[in-house]
Amino acid sequence: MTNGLDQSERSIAAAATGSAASPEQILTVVRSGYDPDPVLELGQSLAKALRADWTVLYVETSSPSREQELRIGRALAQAREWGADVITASDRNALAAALRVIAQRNVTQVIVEKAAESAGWRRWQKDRFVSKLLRKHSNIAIHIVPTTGVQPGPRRVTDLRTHQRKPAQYLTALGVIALVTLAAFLFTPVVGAHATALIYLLTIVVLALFVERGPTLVAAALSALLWEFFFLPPYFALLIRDFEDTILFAMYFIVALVLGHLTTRIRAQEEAEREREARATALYLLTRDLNEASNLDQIVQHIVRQLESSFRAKVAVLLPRGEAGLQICPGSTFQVPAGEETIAQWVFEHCERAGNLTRNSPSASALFLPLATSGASVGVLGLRLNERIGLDLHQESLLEAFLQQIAMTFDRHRLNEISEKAKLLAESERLSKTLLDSMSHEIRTPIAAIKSATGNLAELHDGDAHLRDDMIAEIQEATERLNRLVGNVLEATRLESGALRPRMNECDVGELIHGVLEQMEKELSAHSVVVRIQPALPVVQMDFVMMQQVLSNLLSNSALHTSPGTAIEVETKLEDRALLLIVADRGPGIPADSLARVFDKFYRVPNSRTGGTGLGLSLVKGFVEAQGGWVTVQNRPGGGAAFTIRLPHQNVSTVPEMPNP
Amino acid sequence: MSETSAKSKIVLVVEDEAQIRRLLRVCLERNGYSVVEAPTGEGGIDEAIKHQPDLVLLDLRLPDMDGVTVLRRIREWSQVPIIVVSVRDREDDKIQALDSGANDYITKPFGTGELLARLRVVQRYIQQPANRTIFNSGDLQVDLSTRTVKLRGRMVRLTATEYSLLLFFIQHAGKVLTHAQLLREIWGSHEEQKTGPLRVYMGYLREKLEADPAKPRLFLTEPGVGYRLALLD
Repeated sequence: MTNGLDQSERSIAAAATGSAASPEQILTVVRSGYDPDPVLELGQSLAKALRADWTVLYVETSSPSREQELRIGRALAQAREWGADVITASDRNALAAALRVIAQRNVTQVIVEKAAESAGWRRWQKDRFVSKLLRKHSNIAIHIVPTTGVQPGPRRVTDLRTHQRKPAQYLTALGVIALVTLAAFLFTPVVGAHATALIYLLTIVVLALFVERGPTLVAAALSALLWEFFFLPPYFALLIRDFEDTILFAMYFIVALVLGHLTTRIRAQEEAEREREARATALYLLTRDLNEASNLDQIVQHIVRQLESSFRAKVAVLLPRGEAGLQICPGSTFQVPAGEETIAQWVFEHCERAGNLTRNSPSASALFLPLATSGASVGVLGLRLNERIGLDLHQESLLEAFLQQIAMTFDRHRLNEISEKAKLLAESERLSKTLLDSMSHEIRTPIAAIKSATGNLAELHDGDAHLRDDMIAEIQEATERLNRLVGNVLEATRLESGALRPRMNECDVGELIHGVLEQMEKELSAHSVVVRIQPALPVVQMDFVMMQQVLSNLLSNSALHTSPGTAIEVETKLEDRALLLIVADRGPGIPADSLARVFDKFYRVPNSRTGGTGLGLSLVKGFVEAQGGWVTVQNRPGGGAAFTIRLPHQNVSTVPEMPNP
Repeated sequence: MSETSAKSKIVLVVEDEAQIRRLLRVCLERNGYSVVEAPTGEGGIDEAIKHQPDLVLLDLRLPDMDGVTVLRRIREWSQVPIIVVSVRDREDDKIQALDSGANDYITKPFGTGELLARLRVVQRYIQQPANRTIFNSGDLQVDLSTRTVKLRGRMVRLTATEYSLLLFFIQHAGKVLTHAQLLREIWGSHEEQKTGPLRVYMGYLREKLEADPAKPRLFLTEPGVGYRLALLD
């Protein structure tokens, strides 16, 4: 003891002059049955003063009462708030657990409590803990804190606990022993007293599986006495004549006690194991559900369900939503009262618990817990517990694990959202750059041609008529292209702004086709145009001017991208609800990966001929869709591309379809 | 004036727009160059190998690959002067092309006179003998063997950094040098955003070597891109 206090003084002196070079590791050992507050308070102030890492080890050396569990749970939760790593060991051997943690964490200072003087044999045990610790690690400073003894001692607690459930169990134990004793009168004459002793032992073992330690021990003692009294000569007297019988009796007594003790201990461990497993399962289920959840609503749903079943509490999830601050998520099972929103906000900002069961606004209706990952708050969890007494130690550690898991999930979700946004932004930037690039190319190329041609003309001194004509032709071509582009851009703008409304009239498709072909005679002169129009086509609703432009865009597209001399086919077909207008060529066709994009603005098929405006096909699509139709493109068997326009017509025609020529 | 020196020089035009190719051909042939055309990037690289041109005019927007890729591929084996002719007029595009080895950059639409002037500058640059010791441009004369700098015949004293900057400009006379290239060469710096020291030293050089530092004729600024040492007669 003196030794221990010396150690403490030495370590405090060392702390005062200590350098920051060797960080201290402080371990506070909390054992069930002792008041946890003094050791934890010393641990906190020491850790703070030394800026040391602080670990709290809780060892459950005896079965604590419910009250004690709650008390320790609160104390350990407080220690967590103070920044301690809390480890729980269910070893019966506090020393082994402490030594393990000391070795793992390179602990330099240990804080333990000292039993009150009155607890005689406990003190002996305590001294053994400290002295053994010193024997193993002589280089560790040990602080010993006297417990004030205000709290009920462990033995009283255990007594209390057994008292609560005892009467029935004692009756059971006594009844069983009485029955066995009655039975023993019947068979002892046959098998002998020694066999009867074994039967008693068996009874004790079986009994220990069902009742607490107290009744078991009472039954063991009672059976020993009964056996001696009834079945060892001299009968009906607590006297043993034989030396052999004396030994037998003593051995029986000891074996019965040990068996009873061991069995109840195994049972307690088994129970602890079951509880641990239940907690592990709950955590596993939550982790699995959270990993599988694909959106925020599902995440919240899983959290609420799991917490409700594990803590019998109402749950509210609060997450920050941009400028609006903390917002309660849909799916929460209680509404945060208006006055308590500020508490949640405080919890979010300070990463500390507040509300019910804490020192900060304990009068609140709910407990607010911070959801934080590596110091950054990601949200707040509100718990409205059904039992207002609070959480015991195991629930507390389960809750802690839940909080971490939930915080990580929200953090991951948040990061995913950010990266998704960044991706979208990059994609839209790339698109607008491509669009701008195409636009400047399309506009500046003809301007460059005009500028270059006028430059050449300006240098023309010698009246080279041939060159002059060439340059004028170049300027005319470039001007045409520029004019077409400007026209297309204007149409596209009108189309996009919604200002372009098709004027739907009943029109004749044949008239449309022939009209356009006539207008484009010069442009199509290098190609042979094949027209196939079905007779007696139904009259279709369309905007005649728009359709003229659609058809002429398709035809000039075909003319531009195919070799002179090849055929361009214009064809009509009739489907149930639509009239088909097909423009097909025998050019190089369209690469498969470009098929979906040829209608995009300024999209150019790689390696294609240039000279188009890059808008023609996008206008075709826009115009056709404005009239309620749609346009598709396929590559034809045998080479070339075929653009198909479908315009809906209401009155189903009865004219039979012509066989394909 | 340049027709004698430009005789029989082969210019490779890598450009996808047929009309621009036609017009460039007319313009260049009338000024004494002979022209080889390529409508695609791959074609451009092939023609460069086949014809060993004296000059390359390269568009950045090609149907099969990016012009900068063509630039890098040609630079792998050839130091032929390459002038980029593009509609892209942002500094970033210019810097990328120049850093990839282009000698100059002209934005479309361009005047015929401007194009021919750029061609002449690049040609003067290739015509300079590799082991010459005297550099002349306008009033500036630099003797590289004795490291003496003269302005209108009078000696000018330069610090070591100023001289190494001037030397780098002389080695690439007529060519646009980007901020990054200059910072890397003179200061060994890879922080391309920190152009402070470069601006300060350009100020010193102009102060000492320009007739009117406010209207530089020798050390020209390419806004947002870099500087160029003009080759004056």
